[in-house]
Amino acid sequence: MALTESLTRRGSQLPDATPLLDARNIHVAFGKRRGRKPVIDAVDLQVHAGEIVGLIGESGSGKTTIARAVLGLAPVAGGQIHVAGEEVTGFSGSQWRDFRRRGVVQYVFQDPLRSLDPDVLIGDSISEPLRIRGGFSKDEIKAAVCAQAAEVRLDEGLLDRFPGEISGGQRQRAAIARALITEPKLIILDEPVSALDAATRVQVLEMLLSLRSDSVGLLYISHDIGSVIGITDRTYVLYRGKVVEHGSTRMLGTEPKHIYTRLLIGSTPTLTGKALDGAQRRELRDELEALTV
Amino acid sequence: MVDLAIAEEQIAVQVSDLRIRGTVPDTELVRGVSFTLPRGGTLGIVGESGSGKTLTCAAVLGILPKQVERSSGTVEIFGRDTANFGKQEWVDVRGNIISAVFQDPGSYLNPSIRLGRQINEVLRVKKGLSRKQAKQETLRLLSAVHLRDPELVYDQYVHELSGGMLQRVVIAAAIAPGPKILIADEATTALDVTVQAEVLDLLTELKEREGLSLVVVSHDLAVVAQICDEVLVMRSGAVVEHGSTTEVLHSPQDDYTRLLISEHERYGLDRIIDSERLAVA
Repeated sequence: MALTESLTRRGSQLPDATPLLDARNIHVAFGKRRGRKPVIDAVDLQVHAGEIVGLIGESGSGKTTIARAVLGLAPVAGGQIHVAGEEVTGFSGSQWRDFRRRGVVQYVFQDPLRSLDPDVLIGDSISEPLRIRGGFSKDEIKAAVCAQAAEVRLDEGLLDRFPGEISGGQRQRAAIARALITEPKLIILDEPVSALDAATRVQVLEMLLSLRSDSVGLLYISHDIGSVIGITDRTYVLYRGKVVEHGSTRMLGTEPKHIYTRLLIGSTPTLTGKALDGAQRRELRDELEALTV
Repeated sequence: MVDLAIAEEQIAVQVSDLRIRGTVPDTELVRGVSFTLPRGGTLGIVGESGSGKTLTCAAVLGILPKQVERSSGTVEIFGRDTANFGKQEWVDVRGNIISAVFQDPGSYLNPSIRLGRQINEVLRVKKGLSRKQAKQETLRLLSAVHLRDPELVYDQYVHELSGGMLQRVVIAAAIAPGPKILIADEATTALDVTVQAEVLDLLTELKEREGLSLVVVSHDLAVVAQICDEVLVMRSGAVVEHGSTTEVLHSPQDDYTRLLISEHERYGLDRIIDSERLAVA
C-alpha cells in the first residue's frame, strides 16, 4: 500500500493524516500566583503513525513535562492535546482512569529497576496491564506475554525471574514489553537507553527500530543526540520550554539552524573529533545568551 | 611529609599488574591492570559499569572501600610505592600530589556550608594559609575554573548552583592544594552535553596551564577520545585494549572496543556531523 509505505519510509515527508499525538500551543506552568513559572511555552508537537519522533533538550528544558502533560500527569494551562483523535485536555479524573486503562498511550521510563516492582515476577509485571483491563482468560494472558517477550527479544525463561535477577538491558526490554502488551497507539520512551551500557544500548535501540509499524507512533525523549540521530525520523529541539527547531533528524544533524541546536551538536563528543572547539562554542553560547535575554 | 622527588620524576603514576579482591564474597574484581601515566600526560579509562574502572582509581588514591583489598601488584606515585604508606603519608599525598573529582558534585559538598568556605578549608588545612589569604586564593580559583561571578559563588550554597557550576567548584577545590595528578572519574557524566564540553575544555586548560597529569574515567569512548593521549579499555576487571587514542580508534584489536566504536558509527553523530556548518559564520 503506497500510503503506509510512504509513512514507514525513514525521513519521508508525511502526508496530512490525522496524527496519533497532536499537541497544539501547549502551555504548562508550575507554582502559584507570583511564583508561577511557565515551564512549557506554546509547544506544538505531532507524532504520526509509523513514525519515530525525537524530543531532545537539556535537563530542565521540559521534555518530561511534555510527556507528562500528554498523560494527564502535568497540568495543561493552555492549548489542546489530541491522542489518537480524542481530545484529552479537559478530561475528568474518571475519564483519565478509563483512558489509561485502555492503554492507548504507554510510557517507558529511564530506570527499569525503579519502574518494575522488585517483588513481582517479570512475567506478571508484563501481564499486569491486561489484568487491569480485564476480560482475558489465563491462557490468553500467558500467550500474549510470551508473544510480547519474543517481540522484544526477551528469553522466555526470564519471565519467572525477579527484576533484580536479570540484567539492565533485559529489564528495559521487559518494561518495553509491558508497554506494548496493550497494543498502544502511542509509546512514549523517556530516556530508555540512558541508564544502559554501550553493548545493551545497541541491542535495545535495534529492538526499538524493529517495533516500527504502521499503527504505532513512538515519541523518543532523550538528552543524548547520538541515540536520537540513530533512530528517529523527525526531531523537536526543546530549549527552556520552547521548541526552537524541528524537522527531519538528518537535516537537524547536518544543517542545524537554531543557535542552540548548533551548540548542542557542536558540543557532542565524537570519535572523529568533528565537534566545535572551545572558542567556537563560546561564540555560539554568547550569541545564544544575547538571544534569550 | 612524604619525601617525593617529584621534581625529577617523569612518571606520575605507574600501576603494575594490580589485582583487587572483594572479600565478601571472595571474587577477583580487578585482574592484572597495568598502565603508566607520564608527567603531563592524559590517560583515559573506558569500560561499562562494573568493569573495575573506579576500583582501579580508588586503589591509586588509596581509598578502596572496606571488604575490598589489593591482593597483588604495585602502585607507584612519582616513583614511590604506595603499598607501605601509612595514614599520615596518605594525608600528605592526597590533595597535595594527587586529587580526584567524581560524578555527582552535589554529594561531595556540604549543603549547609557556603561554597567559598569549603574551598577555604582545603587551603587552610593543606597549605596553612591565613583566613585572608585563603579567601583571596579561593576567589582566584573560582575565577580560574571560569565561574562568572566568583564573589557571588563564594557566598552561595549547593542548592543555588547548577550541576555544571558545582562541578567547577569541586574541580576548584580539588586543584586548590596544587596537585600534580588529577583523576576525573565520570566527572562529566551527569552533565548536559554543552556543559560537559565546557568542563572537558577546563580540564584540558588546567592540564596545560598547571602541568597536571590527568586520568579521565568514562563509560563513553568519545569523551575520552576528546582529551586523552592514551586509552585503556576495561571489561570485567581486565584490560582488553591499551594503546594511543589514535591507534585504539583506528585499529581496535578487541571485540568490545570494536563494539564501542561501531555504536558511535551506527547510532552516533559521527556519520553526519559537519563542523563547518555549526560555527558562527
